[in-house]
Order: sequence, then structure tokens, then C-alpha cells
Amino acid sequence: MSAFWFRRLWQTVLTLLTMLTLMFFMFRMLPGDPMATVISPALYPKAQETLRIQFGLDKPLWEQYFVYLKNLAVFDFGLSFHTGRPVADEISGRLLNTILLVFPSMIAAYGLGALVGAIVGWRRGSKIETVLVFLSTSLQSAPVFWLSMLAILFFSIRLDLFPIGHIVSPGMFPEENWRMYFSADFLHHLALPFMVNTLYQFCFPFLLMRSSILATVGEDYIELAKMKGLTDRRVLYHHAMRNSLLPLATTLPMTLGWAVAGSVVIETVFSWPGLGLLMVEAVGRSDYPVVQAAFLLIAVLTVAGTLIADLLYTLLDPRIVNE
Amino acid sequence: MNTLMTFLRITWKSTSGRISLSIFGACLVLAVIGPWIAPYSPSDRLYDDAGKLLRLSPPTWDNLLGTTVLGRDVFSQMLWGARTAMLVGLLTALGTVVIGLNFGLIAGYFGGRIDAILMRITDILLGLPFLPFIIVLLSLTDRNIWTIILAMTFVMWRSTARIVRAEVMSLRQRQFVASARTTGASDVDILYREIAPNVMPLAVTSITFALAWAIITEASIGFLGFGDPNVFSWGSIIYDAYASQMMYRAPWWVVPPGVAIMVLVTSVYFMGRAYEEVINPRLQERM
Amino acid sequence: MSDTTSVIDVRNLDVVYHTANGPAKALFNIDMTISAGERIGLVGESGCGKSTLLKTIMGVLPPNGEVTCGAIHLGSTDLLKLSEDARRKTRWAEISMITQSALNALNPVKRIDAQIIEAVRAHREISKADGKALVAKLFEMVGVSPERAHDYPHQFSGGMRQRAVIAMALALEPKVIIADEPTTALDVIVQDQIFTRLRALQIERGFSMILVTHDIALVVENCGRICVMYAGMIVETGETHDIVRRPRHPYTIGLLNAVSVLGSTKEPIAIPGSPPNLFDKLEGCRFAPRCPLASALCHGQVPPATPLDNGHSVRCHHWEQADEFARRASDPNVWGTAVQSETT
Repeated sequence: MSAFWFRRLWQTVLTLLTMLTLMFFMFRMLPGDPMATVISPALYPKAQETLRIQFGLDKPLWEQYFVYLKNLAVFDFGLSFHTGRPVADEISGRLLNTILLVFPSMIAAYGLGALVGAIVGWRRGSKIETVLVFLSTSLQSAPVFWLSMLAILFFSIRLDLFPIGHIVSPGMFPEENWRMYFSADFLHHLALPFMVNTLYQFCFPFLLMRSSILATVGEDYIELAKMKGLTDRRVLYHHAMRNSLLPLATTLPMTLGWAVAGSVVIETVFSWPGLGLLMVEAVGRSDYPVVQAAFLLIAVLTVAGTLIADLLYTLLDPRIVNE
Repeated sequence: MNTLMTFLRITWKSTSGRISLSIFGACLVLAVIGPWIAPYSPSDRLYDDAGKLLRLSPPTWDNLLGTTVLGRDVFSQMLWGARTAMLVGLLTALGTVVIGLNFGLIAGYFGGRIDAILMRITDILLGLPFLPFIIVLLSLTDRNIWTIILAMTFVMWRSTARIVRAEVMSLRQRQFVASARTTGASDVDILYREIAPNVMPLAVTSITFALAWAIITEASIGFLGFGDPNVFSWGSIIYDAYASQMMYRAPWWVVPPGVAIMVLVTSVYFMGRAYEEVINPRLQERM
Repeated sequence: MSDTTSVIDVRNLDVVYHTANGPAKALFNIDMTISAGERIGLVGESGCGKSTLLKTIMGVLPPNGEVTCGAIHLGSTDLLKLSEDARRKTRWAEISMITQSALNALNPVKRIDAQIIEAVRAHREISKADGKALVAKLFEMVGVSPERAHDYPHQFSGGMRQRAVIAMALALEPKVIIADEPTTALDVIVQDQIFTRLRALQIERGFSMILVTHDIALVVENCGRICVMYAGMIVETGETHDIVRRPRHPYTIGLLNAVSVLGSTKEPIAIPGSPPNLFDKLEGCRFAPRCPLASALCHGQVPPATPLDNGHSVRCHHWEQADEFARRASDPNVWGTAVQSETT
């Protein structure tokens, strides 16, 4: 078991390392002035020179690579072209904002999807099943930014129930601090993007649970559970669902990673100051150090998701723990 | 070609398959002939009889879906957008499957080191945040639909490769492979004549997924403003509306492209499912 | 029929499966009585309707299965007329089951003791301590160390799992235990151990047992009475020694023939041909196409259940020829001709 974890961890490190390397070369090998992606062309020549030496850009590529890795290890992503502040400072709050938007809505989507999927799969062939499958597929097929816009159009503009965007009302919290996250205003801003994302992410766990339950229904242990005189609900929740949760649990962290990656779009529509929005804005301003850092953080979240998936799987399936 | 015919035949059997195939077929036809039947050029600014720019005109008989803030005909843009969606979707799906199928076949059949290396590559690609990666790539290169197609294909083949590989690994053990080997067939022969036909159903299912994903992703890229500036796509129509800040006043501008994407992608998903239900006996009704 | 009181009485039961290919008549005109404290064997090829009969008795037919007529009496109540909830309460408490593949019958992600206690809890309150004590007692009864009760199924060997399932079946001290191919996946030695244990438990506890199997030798060894099923019908039933000594149905003769008797030099003979397709319209005796004795009457008319002495009953128009037929039935050619004449 420890051997498995060692291998798994090593794989994760390798994946991340490869991604870092890929980034390094992508930003330096692509057409155009390679320096322009590392040092702001807007700076005075003298300042540019200083930075060039600081980042070791006067040295050969392989040496630059190690300087790059060394800087990353201490979370030194360089300075933002746009604000001139260290990228690490720019980015730190953004990470939390993304997590606060994506994680709760994913968990809600999975909880809801699992429950509804299980009930619908258990009573297969009902009208509700057909309708739900069609609706959830359509929702998943719609572009999420468009769904968000419709939601804003309806709930914020027509009904005036929710704010149009941003994380808190402007001016409410002049200094961004932790107090912000505990305010009703924050929740009010979170509500709409949360609901849209939950609905959008609902389809996958819903369909997965449904088909997993369908496959479980014929299993011998389900039949035995029924014959034991358990109530229908108990057989569903304690046997069929319990077992079908496994495949679902394994996909959650993975799709969590994907949802973080996909949050780029939803953050943009709702002007939600997360990593995704930061990245899109930074790309627009050609603020490459920020782009790179935001991308790497999203990548770390994605990879971490897969790792947690494996961890969860071993926790939930007794067959693996004991092997 | 054969696979395509089989796919059509199988999908046509169920009601949902027939409906989704028809919708997809209609979109395909519009994508081909759309630019010819479009009443206006999508970038033409239209003026009314008085010579005033037709800004944000609601739907009329002349402009079936109204006009944009710049006085352009939304309906014509939609028809051009259909072509983009189909082109990007189909090419990406094709590229994804060609690469994924071959990688999966080779990794699954030869196993060992080749397999380990190829699977490590897919591991890394699986960890790659999809949309952000494409945005970064597009930010560093030219923004045109070919780059978009290449970037999407580069990331998406991973899933197909893994699915195909798993299937090949179990097929490799089967009798027919062993008997092909005893007749002296080469690895290439076995791989492409014996095994490949058997994984085609899986490949077809993953084509539909790739197609759906590619269409949505292209729209997202367009919406984020990284699309090809010379091409009209459904995503970029929504982006224009969003960027103009007028979208909440002109639903005819925003709603149709979203509905088009939704309907097209839904039909793709249901096509895939109708096919899979026949191919995969586990999903069929038990006695 | 035996003179003791009947526990389960199945009368004139018909079951149909509705499928995409039309209805399949899975059970036809089933009559079966299980007396208190007896061991009865239900034997037949796979697909003959044994499982359907069990599922009907347990009330777990799949949604496409329908009981079109008949009654199943447990004591004086007709199970088929009970509400779903009342029916649920009879399961396991009155009739429990040792399932076909204990390998898959235990939920892989739940501990074994929890699965047993769960069955008890579905019917009555039981404290944690009492539950633990009960499981320990049950495990001792079936011969597994009680310390293993808190394990997961995959930590058990096949034989242990089967014992765990038996322990579970005993948990509520039901009147009837149905053992559905309880030892198919196990090797002969373990199989023997389990049957010895089951017989001992049955005598000690006094429940009735229905042993369901395709292996007539197992039934002969373990049961006092036999029901032979073919294509959804019970073709012959009676005391085991009567049936072994004087089988009256050609199918029973064939089944007994197919078993190699220890010490005999004769090769076992399988009955050629296969059971009828239940989707077809079935007229006459369902065994007729494979039967060397079949006549025009057999193809046209369903043979009625003919009562003989000592509770022996047979569904065959030509049962009187059985003795004569049994003598030549050990010649494979006798069987071959039936199928050939059918195809030509």
C-alpha cells in the first residue's frame, strides 16, 4: 500500500514537473521576443537589464531553467507587468475566491446528482427519468457563459434578486480581508454563480449515478438485500447507492480539477475575482508572469484533484485498503 | 466509411437517435449552404430606409433575428457561425480519434515500455487544465481557427487513447488474435486488421464526445475573446453582445447562438448515447 | 402427500415475463407443498424456471415478471394477496434464502456482521450487544470463528462466505430456508462439509428446507422428497426413494441416467436436445420433442398431474411404460432416436 502511494506521489510530482517544464519552454520558445514574456517591455532599459540578470536571462537556457525552478520553489513568480507588484501577492487571494466558488457548487452538484440519479435509476423507465435525462443533458450542452448571462438577465435584471457580478458590493470592504467572506453581502454575490455552476455540473454525476444504479439493480447482493426484508428505501440507500457512490467519488476530485479549469468562463461572466478571471485579464494585458503563475496554480489544483480522487477511492472501497 | 454507415444504421433504430441525427444533419446542411442562403454579409452594417444605422433592431421580416449594436444581421452571423462550429467540431473530433486510436492501439498492443511512456504522457495531459491551457497557447500564437483546432486536438486525444488502450489490452488475450499470430500475420496486420475493427465502436463513441466538447470549447474560446477575429462563430457572437454591454437589452442577439450550441451539442450527445445503447449490451434491458 | 402440516403451499401458479420479444411463459401450473421440517429438493436444468419459482415465493420477481394466476400460501395467508409492506415483513423472518453465489450475494463494501444484523433489524429491534452475541452464536453454528464476523466479504474464502450466508439465513429462525445451488462455486470437499452442516442444522432447528439444484445426486443425498422441473412445469414429484427406485417420467429417468453412479462402469448419458423456447407457443407435453416415448397425444395435449401412491405424482401420458423404458434408457441410442425423429 505504501508502495502504491509512493508511486502515485511520484507520478504526481512528475506530472507537475513536466507541466512546469512545458510552460517554461512554451513561454520562451514561441515566436516573438522571448524576453518579452518574462520582463515587461514597458520598463526602463536599465530596470530591464537588472531584471534580466536577476532572472538569469543572460545565461544559457538550461541555466535559466534551473533558476526558474528555484524561483518557483520559493513561490517567486516574478513581478506583474501590470501592477509591478510580486505576482505571488496578486494571486494569493484569487486562489481562495476560485475555490470558494467552485468547490461548494461541485459538491452540491454531486450531492444532488447522486441522489436524483439514484432515485431515477431505481425506478427506471419513468417519465421523470426521460425528462430529467433530457434536461440535464441540454443544460450540460449549453455553454455555461450563456447560461450565466441568461441567469443574470432573468434573476438580476428582471427580478432584481441578485447582484450582477463581483464578489462583494463595491466599497463594502475597502481592504480585502477575511471579514469579507463572512458577510451576507458575499453570500448574496455568491448565490447566482453558485446556482448556475451547480446546475451546469449536475448532469455528469446524475447520469453516472443513474447508470451505475441500473447496473447494480441486477446484482445478487441487491436481490439478497431485498429478500432479507429490508425496505425498498434501505436497499436503495444502504446497498445500491452505497456501492454506486464509489465510481462517483473517484470522479469528483477529477472533475473538481476540470471545474477549476472551466471556472475561467463563469468567473468572467460574473466578474468573480478568481484565478480564471485573473488569467484572462492578464492574457489581455500581456502580463505574462501573472498568466504563467495563474495557469500553474490551476494546474496544481487539477493535479491535486486527481490525487485526492485516488485517496478517496481507497478510503471508500474496503477491497483496496486491504490489498 | 463502413463505420460511418454502421453508426448511422444503428443510431437510426431508436427514436432519440433518429431525432438527434436529423437535427445534426440539418445543422450540417446549414453549415455547408449557410453562407449562400444568408440574406446579408455577416459584417455588413445595415441602414433603414431613412439611412439610419439599424442599431439593435428587434427581429423583423428583413432581419429574422434582429441586428447587433453595429447594425449587423444576427441571422446571417448565425449561419456563418454554424459553418465554424461544424468545421472546428468535426476536424477536432477526427484529429482526436485518429491520434487517440493509434496511440491506444500501440500502447495496448505492445505494452511494456511503450505503454508506460504513452500512458505517462496521457497522465500529464489529463492533469493539464484544458481551457486555460488553450488560452495560454492562443495568447502566445496567432489566433485563428486552425490553431484552435490544433490546440484542442493536442489536449483531447488523451481520453480516447486511454479508453482504446484498455479495450485493446483485453482483446489482445482473445482467441482470434492468437490464431492470427499462428498464421504468421505481422504485428501491424494484427493491430489494424484484427484488433482495430473491434475497437471501432468505442472510437465512434469517443468521437461524439470529442465533437460535443470541441463545439462547446470553441464557443468558450470565442466568448473569452480569443477566437479567430476573421471568422464568425456562435461563441464570438455572444462575446460581441457581452462586450458591447447591450446584451441584456437585446435578447435576440444573445439567445439564438446559445440555443444553437445547446441544440447541436445535445443532439451530438444523444446520437452517441443511442449508438452506445445498442453497442454496449450492459446498458440494454435485462430479462 | 405427507400427513404433516404444510408450511408453504403453492397452487396452480403461472408466471410470465414480459420482454421486448413478447411474453415468456416461465412457470406453468405449479403445485408444490412443503411440509414442516422436511427437506425437499427442486431439481432441473438451468432455465427450467427454478429461480423464477424461488423469486416468486420470495416476492422479488423483476418488474417485468407477472404472476398471472395461482396462490402461495404461507400457513393460512396467501402471500400474493399481501400488501408490499406486509409481504416485506414475511421475507427472511418466515422464509430465508441461501443464495446461489455467495460470492456476489454479500455486499462487498459492508462488513459481514453488519449485513447480518441489518437483516434482523429489518424485522425487530435489537441492541448492539445482543446483535453481536447473535452473530457470534450464528457463526459458531455454521462453523466459522466469531472473531471473523467483523471482516469484509473479500477477506473470506468461498466456503466461509457460503457459511456466512447460511448464518444470515438462520438469523431470524425462519420456518423455511431455500438453498439455491448453495455449493456450485465450491470444491467437492467443502461442498460436502457444507451439506453435512446444513443437514445437521436442519434436524437441530427443525426448519423446512428447499434445496434447489441442477444436480439430482445432491438431492438424492440430502432430501426426503423431490420435485423435478422441466421447462416451467413440475413433471414429477414424490418421496426420494420412490423416485430413485421407480421413476415414472422419462425426463427423470434421463436425469438419473446422467448421473454416474459410484462404482458403476457405465458412462453417464446426457439427454440430447435442448429445452423448448419459452417464447414459442407451447402445446402438449413440453418434453415431447426430446422424449423417446412421445406420441401424437403428447404433442397435442398437456399431460395432467397423475397421482400415484405415497404422494408420488407424475405428468406423463405414458407413465405406465416407465418401468419398461427405464430398462432400455441406459442405451444412448434410445435417446438419440427421439431427437432425430423430431428433426426429420
